[in-house]
Amino acid sequence: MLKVGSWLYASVTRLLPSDMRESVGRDLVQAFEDQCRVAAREGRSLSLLAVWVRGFLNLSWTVLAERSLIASAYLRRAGGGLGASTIVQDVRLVIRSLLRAPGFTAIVLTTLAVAMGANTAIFSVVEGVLLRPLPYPDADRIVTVATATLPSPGGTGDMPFSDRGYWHFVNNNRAFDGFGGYMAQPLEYALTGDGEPLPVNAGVMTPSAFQVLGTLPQLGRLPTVEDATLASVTLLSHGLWVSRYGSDPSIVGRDIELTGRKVEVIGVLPEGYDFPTPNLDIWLPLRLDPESVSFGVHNISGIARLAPGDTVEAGVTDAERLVASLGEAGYPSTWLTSVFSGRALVRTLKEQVIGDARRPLLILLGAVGFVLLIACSNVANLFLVRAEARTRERAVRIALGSGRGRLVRQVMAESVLLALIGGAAGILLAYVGTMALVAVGPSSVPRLDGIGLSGSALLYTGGISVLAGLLFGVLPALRLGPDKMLDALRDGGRATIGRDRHRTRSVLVVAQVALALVLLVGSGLMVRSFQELRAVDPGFQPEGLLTFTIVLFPPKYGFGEPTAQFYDELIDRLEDIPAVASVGGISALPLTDGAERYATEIYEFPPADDELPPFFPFWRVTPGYFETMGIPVVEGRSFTADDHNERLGSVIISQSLKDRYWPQVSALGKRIQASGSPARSVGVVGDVHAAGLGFPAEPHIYKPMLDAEGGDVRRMTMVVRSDADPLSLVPAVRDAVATIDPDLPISNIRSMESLVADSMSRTSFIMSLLLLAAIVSLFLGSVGIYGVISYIVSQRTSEIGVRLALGADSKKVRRMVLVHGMKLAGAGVVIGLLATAVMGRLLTSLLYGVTSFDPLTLVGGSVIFLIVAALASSIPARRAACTSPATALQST
Amino acid sequence: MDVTKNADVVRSFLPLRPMQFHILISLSEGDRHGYGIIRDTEERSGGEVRLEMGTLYRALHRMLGAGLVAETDERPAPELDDQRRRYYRITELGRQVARGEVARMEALVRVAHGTGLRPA
Repeated sequence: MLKVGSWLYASVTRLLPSDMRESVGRDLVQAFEDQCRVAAREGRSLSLLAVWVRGFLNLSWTVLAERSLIASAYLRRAGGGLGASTIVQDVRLVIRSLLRAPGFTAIVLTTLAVAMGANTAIFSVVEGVLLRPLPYPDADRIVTVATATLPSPGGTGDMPFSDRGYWHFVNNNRAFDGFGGYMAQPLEYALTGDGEPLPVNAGVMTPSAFQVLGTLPQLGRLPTVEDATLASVTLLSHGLWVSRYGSDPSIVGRDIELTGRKVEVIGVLPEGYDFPTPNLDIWLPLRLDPESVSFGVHNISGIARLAPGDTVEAGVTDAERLVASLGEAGYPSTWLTSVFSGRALVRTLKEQVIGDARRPLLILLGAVGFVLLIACSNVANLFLVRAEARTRERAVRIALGSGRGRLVRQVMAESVLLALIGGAAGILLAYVGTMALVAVGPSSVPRLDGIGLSGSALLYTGGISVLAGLLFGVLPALRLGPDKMLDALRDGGRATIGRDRHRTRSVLVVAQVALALVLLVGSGLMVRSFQELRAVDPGFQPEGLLTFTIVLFPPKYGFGEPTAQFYDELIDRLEDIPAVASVGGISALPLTDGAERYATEIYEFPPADDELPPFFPFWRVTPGYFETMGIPVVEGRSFTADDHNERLGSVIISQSLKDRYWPQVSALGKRIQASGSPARSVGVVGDVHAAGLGFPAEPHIYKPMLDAEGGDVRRMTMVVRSDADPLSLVPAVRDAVATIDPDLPISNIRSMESLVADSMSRTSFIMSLLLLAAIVSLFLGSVGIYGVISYIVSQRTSEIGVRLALGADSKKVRRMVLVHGMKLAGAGVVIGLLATAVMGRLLTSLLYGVTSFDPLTLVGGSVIFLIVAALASSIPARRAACTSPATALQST
Repeated sequence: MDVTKNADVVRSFLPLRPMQFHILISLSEGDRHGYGIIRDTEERSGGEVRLEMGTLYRALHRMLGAGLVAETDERPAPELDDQRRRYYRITELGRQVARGEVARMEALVRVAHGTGLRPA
């Protein structure tokens, strides 16, 4: 114990200025040991501890005091007056020397600007998406609450509340200070009454949910429970208030018409109010009946504020207690055993909003960090070359009495200044880069809008600039050490071919290659995933398809019959458009709208007593849907007008559903009941990747627009196939809709191909950025190899000359140089592959169809790098081989 | 050494920092090692003054440089002491400076007494 203490103490004394250390350092340690020994002899460990604490604190203070004395004295002396003027002088000197070497300066600045620009841009996005707090008071305490289901095929794991479940949580929770409910998906309405009907997205949430968020409206007030009961009020988004009502404050208290129904505007919510989803136009209060006994439909998401002093963990504990007691809320025991897992999901709102965007962003930040490291080591190499060229000059200056400190300071000033200029140029690049990222960033990345260069991003760049400058400046500065200088003088300037110099440079190059290979393999894996995704057959033919959504509202249309008639007529009108080949409609379009799941009864396979029936998603479709989408009918037939007009009670199932229940026999004529009246299967169609190309195709059930129980087809997404460019049809489509109902807006106008592309956007976004990073680092890495090899060749010119003069084969010389370059690259590749083995795992969740140990990518990346390394070293190799012995020998 | 010049040198050290004064007082009775100075000062002041080691050695370092104290080659009998320990002794200059500080303080105390200011 005593020994360790005095060893530590002695190590700290090493930080003292050398003269003080020499004169009293050992005594200091001795005296500390004496004190410790006395304290130990007293036998109280507390007093020993006190001696230690006091001793170390006092010693640290002494070190600081002595060091700062020296530093201030040094500044005073070096400045010969004001410190600032020396700095100005240094900077001027540095600028002059940089201007004298414009090529060097340009290369260094470009390298740094690209690396820092990339870092700043990605950091801005990371900051905007991950770090920026949500715009609600005390937002860290806001959590979303959901119950967790047992894992089931296609189940996501978390389930919203039913009416009963919601009230159970509201009334019995202990951990929350306010509990509200909301609809996770916005509802679609139209602003009617004045002018062209405008489709609007409505956020629907209970008055208590507004309270939980805590943000007050910019104008007016938040809804009350009475408002929710009357269902006749709305709040406007800031955006809609500005664009539609010209920021008129008197809008509060006025009535507006929402799809034919009058509602009073009670307030305007401030900008950035993005709950439950971004891009909402209006909010409607959600009324939930405390007396409701419904528990089958789970569509209310929970949001709550943690009570003061409670943590998320406390929230989870409380919520799981409530899940366990759901029986009191009227849930039958089968639900408790076969639906709920007993777990609850309580997440901070921020976590919920960010979702799975965190990992890709951090991976990108890591990737550009690698690029910066590669750039720094490249620049350090360039600096070393320059420093070596000037070693003798500097040695002479030192010998003549120039302060070594001053020279070191100049080298460091040079590197830091370059880094700062590079950083400044990088900020310009980052400004453009950030805008580009925001513009092309996939919609799956939340909170992208409103992101720009922020103060903290600038601070970040400033920080990494200084750090980078120190990083690549310190190596050349170390070359100014006394022993190195002596060598330089002794060897008449040829000391620079010392082995250790090559070693430093070689280590830098190997590190560059290793880092660049990691990026290359990472981006290669993303490219492979993207290829795999593209190769996925979505189950339909997206080319030439236009899609748009129509929502019909009561009282104009009502339910059932009149809505189906509307779509029949719309399909007729659309088919009249000359370029149109066929038309269809579906209640929820694959890739964009999630389908609702319902308990489904397959009569041939009834569930056991203690089991719930299977849940399958179902869609209602119009006749012509499968033909228009290009979904093959595998067995039986597709729907005709009779199916809904005559209410034949027919269903069509997807291939995977047939495979699950009737793999060997025909699936036609089977009795299936999915939400509503029993039906019989009339056809089997091909599978569709509805949830996204990266997700497996799930079993689906298709129903006609109407059956015996009616049918809710108020909302339909139409698909129109033509040989022309899909978007060129839009005016004709608008006309067709307007001839039936001039007040009806159409929304979500997209080509099916762009929807398919969106489904791959996350993969393609990460892929392109990683690819860009990989290409830049591949380039920097090859420049690094080229630089080192050609430098070594130039240093060995005379040796090569001698070899050639003595009859060495020029091919041999060439191979020798080439092998040297390949050795460096090979070492880098091996280290890089090892690093990839570790880091590849980080990518796993982003990959599709490949593993992080994809041999093709690993081998491919390595081979690309070795080829590039061979090319990079072949130029100096050829130069070496062409050396004329006479010139080489003369040059010494 | 010229007496007036010497007096100037002595005066240039005054007033002494309390730490330096304590060290000089302690060494004026005999040579000591660092820890010895700390213990001696503590005893002499009845536990009032406790020197921290870092602070002590900063002062010693400075006083060595200024020539107020010096290392001594004379050691106590080896059986009493450990050979590695370094001992410090007060130099002639150190003694003069300490005397100068005593004189300065005495004069100051006399002035104070003249105004009727005395310890309670």
